[in-house]
Amino acid sequence: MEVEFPIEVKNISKRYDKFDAVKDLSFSVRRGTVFGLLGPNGAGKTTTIRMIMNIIVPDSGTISILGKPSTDSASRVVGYLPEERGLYRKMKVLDHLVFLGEIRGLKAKEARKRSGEWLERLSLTQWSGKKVEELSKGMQQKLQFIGCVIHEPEVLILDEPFSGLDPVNARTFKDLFMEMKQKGRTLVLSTHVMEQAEKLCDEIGLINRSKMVLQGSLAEVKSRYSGNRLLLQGEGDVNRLRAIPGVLGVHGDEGVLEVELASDLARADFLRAATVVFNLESVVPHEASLDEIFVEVVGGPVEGLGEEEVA
Amino acid sequence: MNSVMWPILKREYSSRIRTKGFWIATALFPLLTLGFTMLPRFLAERTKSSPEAIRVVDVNGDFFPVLQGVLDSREESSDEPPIELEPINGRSLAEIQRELNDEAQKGVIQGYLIVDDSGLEESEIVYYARNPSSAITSDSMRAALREAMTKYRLTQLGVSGEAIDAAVKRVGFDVRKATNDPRDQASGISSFFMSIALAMFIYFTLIFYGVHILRGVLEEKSTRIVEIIVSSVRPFELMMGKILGIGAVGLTQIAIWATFAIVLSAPQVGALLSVAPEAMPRISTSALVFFPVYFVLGYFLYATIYAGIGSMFNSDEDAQQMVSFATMLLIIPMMLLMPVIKNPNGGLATGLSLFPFFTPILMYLRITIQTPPAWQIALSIGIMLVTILIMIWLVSKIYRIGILMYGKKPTIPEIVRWLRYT
Repeated sequence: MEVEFPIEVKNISKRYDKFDAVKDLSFSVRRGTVFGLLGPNGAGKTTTIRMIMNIIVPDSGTISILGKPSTDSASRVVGYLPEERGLYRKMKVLDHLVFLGEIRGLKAKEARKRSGEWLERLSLTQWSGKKVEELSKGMQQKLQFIGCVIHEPEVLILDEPFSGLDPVNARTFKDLFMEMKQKGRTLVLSTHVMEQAEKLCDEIGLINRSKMVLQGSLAEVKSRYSGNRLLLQGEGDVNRLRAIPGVLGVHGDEGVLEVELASDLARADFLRAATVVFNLESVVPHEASLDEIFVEVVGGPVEGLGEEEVA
Repeated sequence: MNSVMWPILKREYSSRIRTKGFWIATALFPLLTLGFTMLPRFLAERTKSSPEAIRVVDVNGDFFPVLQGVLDSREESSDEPPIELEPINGRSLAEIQRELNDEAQKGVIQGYLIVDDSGLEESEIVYYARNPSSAITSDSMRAALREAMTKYRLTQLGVSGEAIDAAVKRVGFDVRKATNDPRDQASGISSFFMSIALAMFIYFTLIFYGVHILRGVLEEKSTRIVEIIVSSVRPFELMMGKILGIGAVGLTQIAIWATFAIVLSAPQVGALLSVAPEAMPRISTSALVFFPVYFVLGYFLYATIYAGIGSMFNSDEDAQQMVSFATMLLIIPMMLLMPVIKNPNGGLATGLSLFPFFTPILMYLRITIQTPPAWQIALSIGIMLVTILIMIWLVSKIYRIGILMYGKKPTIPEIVRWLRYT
């Protein structure tokens, strides 16, 4: 059954005694896309994800996965990589993967077969008889990933998947996620590292202080926040640039200048005027990075409330 | 059984059975138990066979040989300190006493007896001991003196040696159980030890497996595997899978011990049965039947408690306070063993053994001594079942929240609040 939106979250709220962990949050994720759940630490990302995973129950609102309410059986079609993740240190690698496959509903035999394939693919085959504690942290992270996808889930939910990864493994993981997306899987990932979100996400939702404050496709959000800025390179008198009608400001002294214009319409007029007073070498429309958007929306670094409190 | 619980149970079982630790513990436990039961006896033996003598000041010189004879004829004479005659050598009694007191204080002798004319007449002999509270010495000494005194007086009255021996022949005394089933008429002393041993066994195993549960939950929390698991398995299923899996490990271990106990003791049991069947310590049928019942009930109750404690905390140290609280629930009935054994059907014993946290030890103890009324057994099982269900319900609420709580140690009000979360 093809569902257009494999994940639909409608007006969920979760309140703990002292504060709202999540308040009236809604979003849906289209099949075959990557949705980025962004926000500072303690904003409510993990609580939201735990509610999607049915680990905690929202006070109000509904969550549906593949068109069905999020229940125990629904969580089997989801691959979940929690932020706080670990492994049984004393178990052998292959046994551990089989165990993870089994709790996700695979038969032991099938789980063993798929574990073997994955270990081979991530070149861990020679470790399959070793104890987990003998593996490096990077290898353990690969095992956690295999455990997350061993039952070939339609939907993947990844909570801070890049935390603690070295650059090599981060790239491996990113490639694996992209591969999952190309196979038509739907991904939700939470992160507070905007560079990664920028590379991976089709849509983003920014949570701050338990509420969704910004939502939309990556391109749309970016253009909304980019405004009318141009990056110029060239030689000439900066003050004469400032004097052109429609210019709100010019920043930067040497090399690259950032020009802020009043509106879109002013762009052509500005360029015409600028060529007269300025020796332009290059002109590029400036695109706001997610990082800048994040800081602008969230309002600078926010003191984390600590996910422990939220649980 | 729920199909998701099965892999959890299987993992708990196989990952434990496969460890060296399991087999070491399986081998060590009987040795330790043996050690604990034998050690006090061994130490008592050691302290008893003290070589220092007891000096006898025999003013007339005719009582000492009689006493010596009595002590020599005793079966357990090896346990007794030797007695020596203190030569008078013309000293006064006061002088002798002063010297002997010094010797006793220096540890040369254990003490001394004064046997003089008035003592023999009044049948009163005083034992001056370095350590008057040494009950073993004074009890056996008292018995020997009583016998020697009787013999001495009969000799004085002119009774022949043979007649005296016949008259003062020692009385054999044994304690048996008053029951019509001859198989149950076990020697009182050996069944007493058997009852204590079984109660100790339940006590040790409940703590032992409880701590396994605690460690298991703490490990899952500290390695952060728990969140991966609860995304596919409900916390309740994880908890029950763990309890059942470790319970299965426990039953396996007990089965191994039982098998070895039977195999190893079979020759001795056979020999003892053919020579002196009445000396054989017996476990009554009801004690055998109810052992698994109370063990399993006790296991579920305490496993649930330890699982709850494990879920609340992040390290052994943090959990220590609550663990000692749970352990206390098991230590209290152990301290009540004696009053219950003395009066197994009294009000105190009945009441205590129906308190569900004490039931596995105390009700089972009562069953091994003297089968309590059937309604009490049924009631105790009923109360335990209800308590277990309530505990599982309560603890699963705490567990669900607790296993996802990292960081600081929760306070009691916080834990109470978890119970209210949906």
